[in-house]
Amino acid sequence: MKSRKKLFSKKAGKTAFIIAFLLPSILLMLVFLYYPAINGVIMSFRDVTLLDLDNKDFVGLENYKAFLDLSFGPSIWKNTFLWLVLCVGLEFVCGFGLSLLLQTKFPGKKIYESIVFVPWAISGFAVGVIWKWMFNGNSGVINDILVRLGILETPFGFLSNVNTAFYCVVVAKVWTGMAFFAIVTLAALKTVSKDMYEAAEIDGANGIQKFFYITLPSIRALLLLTILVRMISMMNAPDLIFGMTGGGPAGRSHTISSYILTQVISSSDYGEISAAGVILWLITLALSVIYVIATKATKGSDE
Amino acid sequence: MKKKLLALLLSGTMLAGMLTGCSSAEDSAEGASVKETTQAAEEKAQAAEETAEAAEESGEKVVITMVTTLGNETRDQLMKDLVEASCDNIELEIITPPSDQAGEKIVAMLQAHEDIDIVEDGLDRHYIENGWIADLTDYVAEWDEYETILPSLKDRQASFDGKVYGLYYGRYERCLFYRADWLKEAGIEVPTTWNELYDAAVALTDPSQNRYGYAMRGNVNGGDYMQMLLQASLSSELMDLATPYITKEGKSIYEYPEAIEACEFWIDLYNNASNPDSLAWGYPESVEAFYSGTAAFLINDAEVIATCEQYMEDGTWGTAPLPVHDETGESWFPQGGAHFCITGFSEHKDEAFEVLKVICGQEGNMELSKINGTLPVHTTAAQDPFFGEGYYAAYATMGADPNYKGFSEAAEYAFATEEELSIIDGFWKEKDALFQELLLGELSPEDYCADRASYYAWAHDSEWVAERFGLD
Repeated sequence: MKSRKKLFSKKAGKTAFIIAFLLPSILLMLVFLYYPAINGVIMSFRDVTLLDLDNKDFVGLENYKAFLDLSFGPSIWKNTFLWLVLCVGLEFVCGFGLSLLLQTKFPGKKIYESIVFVPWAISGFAVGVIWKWMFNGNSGVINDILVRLGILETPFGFLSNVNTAFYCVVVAKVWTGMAFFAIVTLAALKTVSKDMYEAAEIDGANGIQKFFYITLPSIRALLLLTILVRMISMMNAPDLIFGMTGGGPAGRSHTISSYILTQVISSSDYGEISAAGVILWLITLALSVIYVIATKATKGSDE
Repeated sequence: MKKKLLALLLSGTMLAGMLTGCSSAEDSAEGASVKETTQAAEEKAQAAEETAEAAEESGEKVVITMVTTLGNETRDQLMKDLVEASCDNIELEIITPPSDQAGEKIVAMLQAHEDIDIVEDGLDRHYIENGWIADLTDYVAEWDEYETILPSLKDRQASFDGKVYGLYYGRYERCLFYRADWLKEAGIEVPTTWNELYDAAVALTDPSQNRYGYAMRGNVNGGDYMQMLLQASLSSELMDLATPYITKEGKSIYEYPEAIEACEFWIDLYNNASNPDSLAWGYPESVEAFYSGTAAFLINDAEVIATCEQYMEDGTWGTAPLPVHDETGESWFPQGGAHFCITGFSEHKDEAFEVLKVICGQEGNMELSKINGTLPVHTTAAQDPFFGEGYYAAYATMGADPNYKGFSEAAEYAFATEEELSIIDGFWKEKDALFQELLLGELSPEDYCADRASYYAWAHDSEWVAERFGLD
């Protein structure tokens, strides 16, 4: 009996000890993450403008209605979807391809690797400005090359055309983001046992077969999770759109997150911005739920 | 066990430190507690004044901290040198937050009553109402050089409630930049009216050579340029300098048929005389189009003169006064005013005003204007050859001509009620996207003007508008 009591108190002491250590981070999260988040949700149902902060009447769903009624609203939804699918898809394909190429040995590989990974290290706003000038329809280098090659007769306004502006941003985004996938997949590829390839070679498998029957299944779970993580971060990546087009022309290259960013700067209607933020948050939340489920489902699949 | 105790102690200390940190941060973040902090700051200021006096006696310098919105090393160094030369007891320290977030950063600093004495661009209703900006009326009354400040700027300084809250150290105005060599080649005179500008721009457009007449700005604030034409067409007959978006009839400027004409003019200018890519252009792209030799005309601020001097050969370009409206003969344009304010909670207001007297005084301001690209704020400056001749001569002409009307952008903010302000806010929200839709032909001039006018429709029933213009 005595020993059991002692055991219990030892356990309680341990729990208290753990709680004491967790408390700072929990409090930090509550104050800097959950308080602003919950406040944001409440703000989305209120009439909050920077000009009149004393008056915050509840206006029901008015802010949501205003956001959904935007003249370029449909293109925001379409772009947000395409932004996720195209950017992540292309980044994955290019990044994976890159990492497979980097598997092989060639002279100057290290230098090449560093060059490939540089875009990933540059700030999105800076990349936006660089690509904005590259796509410039007056003196941009891309137009210059196309005109010199005779593909175009006169420079084309890539960023001023409602049909091309958004895709130009996608190109720039893939340019920066593929390094991310390349780094992750390169690391994953190193975990695949060489024995399996040797065994497959003995069995007479060719390169394509080895890729589909050994490489891909071995790193499948990691790839899936990486894609999901990337999708979540892509939802919240307005910097490049902001830097390159500012959402233009005529709002046709906005995604939800870039719309929120430009409005925070140009408007003081924080109620509506919060409503857009809540919608963005819900989408991200859905992606996160899929991620959590996927993590559980894929657990142990690599073993 | 000892280790555990130590660890617990450490984590406890961290927690305590964090909590105190949080509480002070929350105090400053909440608008409601501004008053309390103001009181505390006043007490602090009193105490500091005493120490300042003590410091003066002992020969130590008072450090005046200035926060600027746009960093400029040459300007900042000159301001420091000017202050050092004229004030023995003052040392000027300048802080510049990164420009893309300067506004928010400064608001946060003011909110937290950080140790700032002078703030740039503080003439903001929001700042003044929160008590962040000091009243300088008594100070300027005792300053003899205040008399020669441009009358229009004096009015603007006092436009909020009759009191002076800040001093202008420079003004920004647009002028017309033109390719002198192209005009000469084509035998065209420098345009003086909007229609002449249009005709010349169309004549000089040749897409096969990548040459266009006008360096249009279709993106960020592009609509403001079209608005100049609209305001000029309504002219002083209907326009009031203090309310550039509302006419003397108590209507939005966009309610008049002239607004639709201005839209049509601008659409033609875009389609017939501008690079199609200019739809996506903001400030840097349109300026680049001019100095790189692909556009004949550009309307922009004085600082572009320095850029052109750097990249273009003398004689190939020139500046001219802004075009006037063909019928009314007037030109209306937003006049930017770069200014400094003293913070309401500054511990060294007297010394801070000494600094402003140096920077905004006749001599110091002339020196500052020359290196800063801003136009001087004293009437005496016109006698200086730098501002009376060469590329700046256009501004001297504009300054002397009463038909050139420079107004403070959105000046009606100073009068509008909270409710009216919250409606006006919508005007700025999607303006770039709507202007681009107008240029693309996706939005008709009628719909565009109706949308723009809707944010000022309150002017019909506004009490202060009726009172100001004697309407029923």
